Amino acid sequence: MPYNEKILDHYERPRNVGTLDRAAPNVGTGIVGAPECGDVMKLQIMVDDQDRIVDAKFKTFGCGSAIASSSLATEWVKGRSLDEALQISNEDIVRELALPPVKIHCSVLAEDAIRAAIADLKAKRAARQAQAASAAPAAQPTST
Amino acid sequence: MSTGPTPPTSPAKCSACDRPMNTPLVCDGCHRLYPADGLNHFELFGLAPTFDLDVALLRQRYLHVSRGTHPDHQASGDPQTALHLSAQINEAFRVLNDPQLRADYLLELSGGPSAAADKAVPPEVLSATLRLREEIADAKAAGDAAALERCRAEVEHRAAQALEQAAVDARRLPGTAADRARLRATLNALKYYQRLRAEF
Repeated sequence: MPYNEKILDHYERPRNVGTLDRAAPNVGTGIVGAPECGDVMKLQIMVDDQDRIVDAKFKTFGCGSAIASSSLATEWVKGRSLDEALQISNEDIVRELALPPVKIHCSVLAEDAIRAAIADLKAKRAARQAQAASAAPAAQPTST
Repeated sequence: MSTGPTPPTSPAKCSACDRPMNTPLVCDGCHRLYPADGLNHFELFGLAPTFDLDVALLRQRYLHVSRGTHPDHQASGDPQTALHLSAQINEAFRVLNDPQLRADYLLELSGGPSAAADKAVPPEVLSATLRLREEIADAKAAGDAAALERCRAEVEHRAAQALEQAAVDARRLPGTAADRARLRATLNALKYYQRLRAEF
């Protein structure tokens, strides 16, 4: 299959391959997969105090298009706010990489991974807030 | 379980030579072929749609029907129909002969969902798959045969457990939508393990 130059570029020189500290409070991790082909993709984002994405890493076990899609996704999310990152759609990835129809699901996977990473970050934050809220009243008796 | 509104299209007796039909596709007496359109994989072989299939009988029926559709038997008949039927029964045998594919097919007959429609897997399956892919890649890069063997054993263990669970749920089909979703998730997990196996 003749691949677009941009796919080959991302496939041969993938950007941002690696791992961020999953336990860090400002890191969100999304792990998604496609059961039809068995591909798995991990995409992580790191945000600053203003919730702007300052770093992103990925690890993808799959075909060239899946690797290129996730590589591109990490490049695109950097510098964006969470809301801006949610605007990235798989169709943008399809257009940029000129993915053939049989590979569109790879771009869907990358979009899912971005969303899963952001959801993970928000879930972690909500859990921390809930914990802080439940810890606060319990701390009162000891202070009196 | 229900198999949908598609009764076999062939008669109980061959309309050409009046002999009883053992399977719906081919008359044993005169080798007349009957169209298999609309028949599901089980009906092709005249078998009840169940997970606990008599695989010996399946095999016997498959070989029997294969002989019937063989070009040597159909030299004067309809080679196009014979070819089409051959492809159909080969696919049906491939699916029914494999427990994982059989469970998936029974789920499809019960109304799904398909893997494309529902990608969910049980918790931890995706992260375990990712971890195993990493460990396998590392073990290969380091030439660590023992580590690779540990990965292989874990994949096999996980696959065996998932297949056992799939069998339990496939026997209960059609069940509720929640039951079917759970079977879908287990079968999805098996697809990831299948892909992992290809790494060894």
